[in-house]
This record gives sequence, structure tokens and C-alpha cells, in this order.
Amino acid sequence: MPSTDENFIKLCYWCRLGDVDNVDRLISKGVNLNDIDEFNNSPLFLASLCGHEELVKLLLNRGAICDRDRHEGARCIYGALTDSIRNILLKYSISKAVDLKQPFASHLSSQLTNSGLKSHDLVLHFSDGKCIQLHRFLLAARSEYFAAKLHGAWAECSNIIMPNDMSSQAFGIIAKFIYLVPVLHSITDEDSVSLKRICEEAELTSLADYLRDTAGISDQISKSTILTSYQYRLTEEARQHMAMITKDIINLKRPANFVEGIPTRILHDMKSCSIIPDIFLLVKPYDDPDRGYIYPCHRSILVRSDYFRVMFSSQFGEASSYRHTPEGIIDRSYDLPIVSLPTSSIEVANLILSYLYFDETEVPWKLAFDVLATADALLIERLKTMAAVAITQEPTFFDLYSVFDVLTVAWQFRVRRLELYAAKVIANNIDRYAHQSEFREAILQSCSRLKDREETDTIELIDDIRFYIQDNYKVDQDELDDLDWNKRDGGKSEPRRELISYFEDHQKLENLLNEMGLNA
Amino acid sequence: MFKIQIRSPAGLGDKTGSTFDASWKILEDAIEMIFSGRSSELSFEVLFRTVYSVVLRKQGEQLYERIHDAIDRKLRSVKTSSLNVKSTSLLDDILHAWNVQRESLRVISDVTMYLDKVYCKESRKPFVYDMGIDLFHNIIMKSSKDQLYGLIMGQINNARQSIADVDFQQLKYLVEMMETVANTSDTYFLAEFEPFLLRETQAFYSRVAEEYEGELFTYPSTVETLLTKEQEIDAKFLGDSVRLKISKEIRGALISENIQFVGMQVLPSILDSNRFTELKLLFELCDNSNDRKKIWKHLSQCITKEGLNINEDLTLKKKSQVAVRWIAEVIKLNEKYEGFFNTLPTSEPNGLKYINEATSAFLNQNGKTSAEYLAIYIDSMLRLPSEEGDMTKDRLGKSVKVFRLLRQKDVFEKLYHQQLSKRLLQQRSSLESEKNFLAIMEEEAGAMFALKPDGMFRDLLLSQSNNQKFRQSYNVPFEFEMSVLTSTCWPFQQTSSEKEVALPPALEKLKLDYENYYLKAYSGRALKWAYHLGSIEIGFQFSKSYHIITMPVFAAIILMLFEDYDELNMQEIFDLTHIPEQELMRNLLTIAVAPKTRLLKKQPLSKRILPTDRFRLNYSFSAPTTKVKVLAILYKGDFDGQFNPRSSDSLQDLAKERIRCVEACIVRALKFATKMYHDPLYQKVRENLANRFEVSSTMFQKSLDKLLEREYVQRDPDECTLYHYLP
Repeated sequence: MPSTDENFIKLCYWCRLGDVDNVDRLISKGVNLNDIDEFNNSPLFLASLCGHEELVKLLLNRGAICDRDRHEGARCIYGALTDSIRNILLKYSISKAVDLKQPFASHLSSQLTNSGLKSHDLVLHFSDGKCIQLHRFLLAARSEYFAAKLHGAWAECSNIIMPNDMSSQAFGIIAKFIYLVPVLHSITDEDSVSLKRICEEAELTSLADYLRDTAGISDQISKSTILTSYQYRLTEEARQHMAMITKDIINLKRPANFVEGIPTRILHDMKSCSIIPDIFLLVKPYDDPDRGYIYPCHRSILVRSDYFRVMFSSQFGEASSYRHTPEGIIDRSYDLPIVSLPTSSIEVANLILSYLYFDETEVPWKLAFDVLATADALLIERLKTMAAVAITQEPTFFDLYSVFDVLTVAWQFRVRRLELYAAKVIANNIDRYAHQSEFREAILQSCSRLKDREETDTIELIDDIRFYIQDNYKVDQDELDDLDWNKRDGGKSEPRRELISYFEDHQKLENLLNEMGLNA
Repeated sequence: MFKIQIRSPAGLGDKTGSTFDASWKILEDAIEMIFSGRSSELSFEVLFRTVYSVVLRKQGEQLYERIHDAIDRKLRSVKTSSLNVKSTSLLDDILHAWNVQRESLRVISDVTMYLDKVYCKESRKPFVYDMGIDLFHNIIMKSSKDQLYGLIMGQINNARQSIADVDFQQLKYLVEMMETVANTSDTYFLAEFEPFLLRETQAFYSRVAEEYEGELFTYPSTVETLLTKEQEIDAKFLGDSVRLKISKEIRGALISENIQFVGMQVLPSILDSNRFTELKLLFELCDNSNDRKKIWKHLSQCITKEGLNINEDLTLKKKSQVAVRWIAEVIKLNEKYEGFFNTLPTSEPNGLKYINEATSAFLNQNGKTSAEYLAIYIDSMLRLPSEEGDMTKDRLGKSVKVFRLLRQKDVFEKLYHQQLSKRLLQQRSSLESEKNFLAIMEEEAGAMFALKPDGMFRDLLLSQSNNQKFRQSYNVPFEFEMSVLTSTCWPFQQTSSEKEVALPPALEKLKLDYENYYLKAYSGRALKWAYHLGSIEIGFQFSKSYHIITMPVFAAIILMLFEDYDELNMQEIFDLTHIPEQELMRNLLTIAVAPKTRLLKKQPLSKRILPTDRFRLNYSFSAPTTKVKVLAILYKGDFDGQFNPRSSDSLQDLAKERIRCVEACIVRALKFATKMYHDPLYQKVRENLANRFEVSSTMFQKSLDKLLEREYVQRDPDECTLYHYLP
């Protein structure tokens, strides 16, 4: 059945064009990469046919399947435009596909054993002497059964002695499942018996379904096929869980007044709230620095940002304010520190949190600049790209901002995509911009930037604009050389109309440069 | 500027860090705190945000400079306050400073992450961490370099001599420090310390080599022990690549640099004591092919010397015994070293060449004697009864190896032919083993070598069938064996006088009959009788016992005279037989004087024979066995020269033949090249004949002169060293 998901159709469009950033954005919205469009094309087939190597890699990384033994997979391989794409596809093996991941999922997996951060706050002791360290909030987010336990019997206790009949092996698999560590392929028949019992008790229905569907199937290939179809379902289910917890966080945020100080009672309340936070995040509005909002958050999610990662793994005050129990987990009886998020906007803060918790990549264009700046301060490169995509995607953007604003932001925060975008916009409207003083300023600024970068006598902005002027009229260098040749011959062959337009635009740019006394 | 309003990220840092100096104050204090290990009292948020704002305000360069200066100041104060280059704890102090510096830099670079990412990357400056490491290098390590190196080297040398306990952990940390500090592309360790370390190591082990006092032949194992010990020490604090370099340096110091000592003293000592394991070790220790070559050369010299020391044991009576003993020693020597060679890894392909060259060298220093001894050795091997077939075969195979190393192969060839002919005529060896050996030799020396022997074999076969046919048609009352020899194949001289020898009637009849038969069968051929090559068997009842006596033909003729005469003097014998005087003398000496075969009584009894001496049959002759073999005695002088009189002819022959070979070779070379200069021509001839004999320049000159005389070759009228071929 062809997919009717609007996002999927858009995704297919960008796959044809080869826009990696846009595809990445859409995948994180939860598009099933292994669907087909109305012509029975899969996104992987389109990317492979159109020769977008980086895109093929991205799709495979995010869970697109290339099963050589099936029609769709074989079609991808035969349709590949280049040998190197075909080799990438051939190297892909369906049995290894299990550890392909969405970014938020792979981050969660890494937190199960992240010993550098030491943010675990629950330890389960098993009868065979083994221990498993976990995060309370994640357990609660992923399973209602555990949520109930954590707010009930386990609320005050961080060392839980598990019943004797609970095997550490089976629970280890459950833990991996909860953290989205690829584990399904390694479940043995022995495991599945005890697993089934836990799944029923803890209401992990999707895992139970998987176990039921694979029961009795020993053929590795058909097992992998079932597995990959579950992969999508399980990942999206987890994404839902993470979206839920983000929603709770946003709902649970409290206003605070800094002039009076934040009452410890409020902090205490928040500390024991349903999502079990281990850090408070502060957002202060720009216009009123005395007021702000406090979000209950989780360090193990915030560390997706390099800024927070360093903050909590270095030896500064923020990291040193946590105390650990002898078992090496967080002692929750101490107060949680408050750190601020470098933004003044609640919307931006919400979006950043959504991105960190479940890969929200849809940036409202009006927020794009702010998100971009905040992502830069937090050192989250991918979110910067997503914001840039939002800007380039929005036709009405220039109702609010000028192209030079875009350029300034691009330079300020080093976003090449936006630089190119601005150059393209200018190239398309060279008539209009050639007379604007801002354009001259921008050219001069581009000149001065070059001094820092490389000792060449080109101006990057001008080069980019020239490229897009050529691109607009589908003029290539060969044609220009031919023309040059004809002129010297005194030939009378009439150049095509686009070429004349091209020369007009080109000349406008040259005139401006001459006027400014620039040689480039 | 532009109307855009980016509300730059609000944060705690913004308010206090509004001016650069205010921001810097915060960071400067923070750096001070970090260096004193109090970073947990600081807020990352504040510091990061301060750096972030400064960088956003494009003041990255200024900030970078300030941080640079602050660290610089810090390090200088550390240097003056806590580093004393004369202190014995300098190593500890440096390590301490290093650890503080590294830890602090790590924390500082956490704060300056945004500066690194934005300013440093775009301006191509080293990151703050690397900049700080570089400062540490410039300020701390450079100033105390000599003391630092000295102390480290002292420790290492102490460990090598097992003098004192060495803190390897400390050394390891220091090495780690030097490996972390990077110059431009290489680490400090690689660029600066390693060359120093290698130099010092070399010096240390050169001293060890100089002061070596142990037994010479244990030198290789001593070197190995030193290497293992060094490896053990190095493994505690050095990386793999430098350890390899060190071990190479040590081998260099102990072997390459010391090769004179190794070759001239250690090697002979090892060989004298037959310690081949040490020798093998020595080769294993040499990882440099050049050194190995040198050792092989020395070894080769030693083998030659050892070979030359093999004495000809002149206490033995017979020359053949001397020769056999000598050749056996040579084979043993060669085998000893070949055996050693086989224990070496296959990476030593040239070794065998050196061993053989050495053997060849001493073989040829002995000149013709070697060839002669070898020929005698082979002769005596082939004469052995065939029961010992396998052993003989083995020995013959080995002697072929010796032949291969011989340079004067033509001498050997000559002698071999001579001895072969004797063996064949006297039926002293089995035809089969002769043929087998010849096949081996043919393979080794070429078809030419086998040409004459093949003729000999053919003659003998033909004679056998002739004898049979003859016996069928003529009635001869006694056993006989005729061999018709093609004169070109056999290395005998023809004697013209033998025609006149008067045979006893029975023999005379046989002779005439055979001539008659043979000439009928092969018309147009001439038969000449070579009595001196034959022998006759006579049965005789002496007074005590009956004996069958085998003796030369001449001796038999003389003896048979006494069927008719009781007593004869020498002159009478000569008159009756016409045996040439020399041969007569010889044979009389054989049967009348030689103590074991005194068939005739001589009067007067003396060792010399005078024409007037009188002879009669010695009826009282007796011998331990029924069969007696009378061997023609040799003249007294025979033993002095290397060749007996008859082979001294062949010596002359040999010289003549060599000249002929040289001439032929010259002509061949010139015919091919049309004209040639003297030296290249000489060179070419030498090369071509190298596997037969050595061409001396006089020999060459002589042949060339002869050719010029005979107008095969012409001297160029203008250039006296250029020769032309005359067709």
C-alpha cells in the first residue's frame, strides 16, 4: 500500500533532490523509511537512483532496509547510479540492521552504561549477586507498571532487592529494551520463556508481541524480517514515551521570582514530581530578568548537548553538587542544582527540550534565529542545521527578516547552508540588491572575513552569487568558453536568450564590484 | 549595523561581563583557582557564558592572548618557586608540575570550548590545551633539559648495570609527558629525546664492548643476554617503536661498530672451540646484511686457513694413503660448515657460496696437488670391492663436490683418465660402478669429459667379443685376454721398439694368429703390441709350494727363459729377448731384488743390477698365499716428484694441451669479435677457461705469440695492443 503520510511524500521529494538535512529532519518526525510511494518507490531507491551517496548512508543509518533477497532491495542495488553507492548497498547486511538507530534512541542506549556521568539513581540487586543500575525517570516513562512501582513501593528506596526467581539475565534484556539497546536479535529461546513472564507482569506489550511472533521461528532470515518490521514500531513507541515525558516537563514547569528567591518548598515538590527529575533548568524572559520558569529535567538527556556534557563531566560546581551512594548511584536526598538554559523564550526552551528528549526537528520559522543561536551556545550542531532548514524552507521568511539578516546569522554562527541560501536569494534578485547599501556592506564584510580564513583573493559571497547566477540560467563553463571562441572568430551564431540574461545579471555584479574598487 | 535583533543568549554571564576587562577578570580569577585545584568552587555556567559572550563580540583573539599570558605567568612562577635544576628531586618536581599543568589545562579547555571551536579553528591557532602544553615545553622543559636528560639517562644506565633500584613508574610518566608534548608534527619524545637516548645508548654499549673481558667465544651469547636485559628494562617504560630502535642501536654498537673484533678475534675463537650454536647466534644477532657479509668473509678466511692447516700426513707410506686421508679431511671440513649452514634460516642464501669459495681457495692454494689427490682418492674409492657400494657411492658423490670447487680441472681430468685406463686394463674395478661414476662426472663437467672414457669402455666391449670369436676359430692352449685399444682414447704412449721383443714360441704363435684374425676382420688397420700394459699368469711348483704368479709381460718373458737356461746374465737376457734396457732393468729389479717377489736369484746379491750379474731360478721362493701378484717396482726417484716418470710426460702434455686450449680460445674469441684489445681478450680467455684451469699471463702471451707467428692473428699496425683476426 502506498503511504499517504504527507511527511513521507515530502521525504520522497527531498530524496530525489538529495537534501540530506531536510531528510534528516523528516525522519525524526517519525516517518517510516520502509514505506513506498504511489509508484512503489522507497526513499532508499530514490536516493540511490538519483545518486545521492550521503543520503543513502543517512537512510541506511536511520533504519532503511536493503534486503537483497527481496524485490525492493534488489531494485535499489540495480538502480544505483554509481558504483560506490552500489557498494554501500551491497555491504549492508540485513542481519546487522538491528543496531541502526534514530539519534535520540542511540543516545538513550548509551546512557544505560554511561559510567562517566554517573547519573543512575536506582540499583536492582539480583539473587546471583549481579546488579543493574538504571534511571528512575526512564523506567517510569517507558512502562506504567514501573512508574507505579517507583511512585509507590520503590519511592524512598534506591537499592531494590529483586525476588529470587527474577533472573538477572532476563532483566538485563528488559533493561536494554527500555534503553533501546539493540537486543532483540540476541534473545535466545531460553530467555524468551522468562522474558514473557516479565513482559506480561510489566505490561510491555510490544515486546511481548514480538516474542509471540518470533516464537518457534528458527530461520535467521525470516526472524530478521520480523525484527526489522518491529524495529520501526518499537522506536516510534519509544519516541511517543519520550514525547509524553517532555510534555509533562513543560506542564510541570513553575514560575519563579528571583527577587524573593525560590521557595525551597517548590523545589522539593518538583523534585518528587511524576517525572522524577535530577536537575532544574532555568529560563529567564528577556524583558523581565527577575522572573523566570523552572523546568524539572534529566541530566542524562541534557548531555546530548556538548555544553551540558562538559558541564556535568568536568569538576566544576554544577557537577560537584551531586553526592553518590556507596553503590555509585545518585543520592537523591540532596538538593538538585539549578542551571540556566541560555534562552529567554519559553517556546525556544520547549523546542530545545523536545529536540533533546525525542528528536523534535520541526523548528517554527519564526523561532528559527533564536533556536539557532541557542543551539550554538549549547553546541548542538544538528539542531542548528534543522533551524537553518526551517529558514530556507519558508517563503514568507523575508516578510520579517532581510536576506542580510540571514547572512549575518550565517556568518555569526557558521552555518554554510544559510550562507549559500542568502547568496542564492541575492542572485535571484540581483536587480534589487545591487543598489542596496547593505549589499555593499555585506560584500565588504565577506572580504574581511576572508583575511581570517585564507590568503586567497576571492570573495566567498561573490563566488557563491556568481555560481547561482550561472545556475539560474543553466549556463555552464563549457558554453561560456565556446562563446568566447566564437567571438574571437567573429562568428555570427546567435547566443540563446538565457545566455543574454545571464550576461546582464553578471554584468550588474561586475559593475558593482568595479564601483567599489574591488578586484575579485 | 543591521536591523536584526538576535537576542543573544541570556545568561548570568551577560550582565557582569559586559566589558572585556570585566569578563577577563572573571576568567583570570578562575584560571588562578583552577591551578590551585579549586575548580569545584567555580560555576561552569558563568565561565562558559563569559567566554561565549567574549567570542561572540569578536574579542576571541584578545582573550586567547590573555589566556596565553596568564598560563605563561603561572608557569614562570612555578619554575622559579618550585623547580631547582640542581635538586635531586627534579624529576619528581617536573612530574608534579606536569600533572598540575595537564589537569588544569583540561579544566580550562572545558571552559574555553567555544573559543577553541570558533576562534582557534577559524584563525588556525592551536587549541587552548595544546597552547598550554606548548608553553609547558617552552618554559619548564627547555630550561631544565640538560639536567632532565642527565637524570633520566643516569637512571636508565643504573638499571642496565643493576646498580640501584630504579623508579620505572616515574620514568614511564616522564616518557608519557614527553610523548604528549608535541613540537610541530612530531612529539617531543620523538623529535628531541629519542635521538639523545639512542646516542647515549650507543655510547654506553660501545663502552661495554670496549671493556669486554669474557671468553671470546661467549661474546655472542653475552650480547644476547645484554639485549634481553635491555628489553626487559625498556618494556617497563618505553614504547614498542623506540625499543626496536634501541635494540638496533645496541646491535650496532656491539657488532657493527665492533665488527673488526668480532671477525678477527671472536669468530676464530668460536671456530677453534667448535661452538656452532654461538656462531649461529652471532648470525641471528646481526640484523644488518652488510655486517653478515663481513662476518661471512671473515668466516670464509677462517675456513681457508683451517683448510690450509690440513697436513698431508707424510708418515704414511703410500702416496695414495696420504691423498685419501687428505681428501677425506677436506670433505669433512666442507661438510662441517655446510652442516652449519643448513641450521641457519633460509634468509642466508649467500652463505653456501662463501663456504665453497673458502674451500675452493685453499684447494687451489695447493695447486695441482689437490687435483692429484682427488684423482687418487677417487681411484682408491673405485678400487674398493663393491660390497661397500653404498658408502663408496656416498664418498664419490662428495668427491664430485670437491671437484666442483677445484680450479685446475684439466689436471684432474688427465689423471682420472690415466687411472681409469689402468683400472680397466687391470680389471681392478667393476665396470658398472665406473660407468655410474662417469655419468655423475659427465653431468658435472660436460660431455667432453666422458669422450675418452666412453671410447675405453667401447674398446673393452669390442675386444671381449673379438676374443670370443677368435677362440672359436683358433685353438689356443692357455687362457688369454686381448684388448685392442684405440690409441686416441687411451692415455698411453706408443713404443716403437717393442716389435723387436722376442716372445716365447707359444706367445709368438698366439700373437701371429690374433694379428691374422684381426686384420681379416678389420682390414686396413695396424696393430701394435703394448706389452708393458699386459700381464701374464704362470703357475709354478717351487720346492716348497705351488704358486700362481701374476706378473708383467716382460717379467714373464724373462722368467720363461729359464725353462731352457739354468743361469743367465743380464746381457744374455737382453740378447735373447730384445727387451728395451730400461724395461729389462725394471723387471729384473722386480723379480730378482724386490724382497717379496724374488723369483730369481741374483749373484752377487746387491741392490743394483749390473750387466754382468748372473740370475737363476729361485726354487726356494715361497709366499703366504697361492696367488702371488708381482708388481713392477717404481724407480727410486718416483716418489720425490709429484708425477712419476711416465706421468711427467703427461705433465708436459698437460702444458702443451693448455697452450692449445688457450690458443683455440683466443681464436674463437677473436673470430667472434674480429678485433680486440689485449686486456679484454686476456680477460675473456680467462673467464672461458676458468672452469678448467687458471690462465697465467705468460701462458697467454706465449699462445698469442705463437698465433701471431702462424698468422692466425695480426697486430694492428697503429695500436700495438689491438689484435685482428685473420680469416
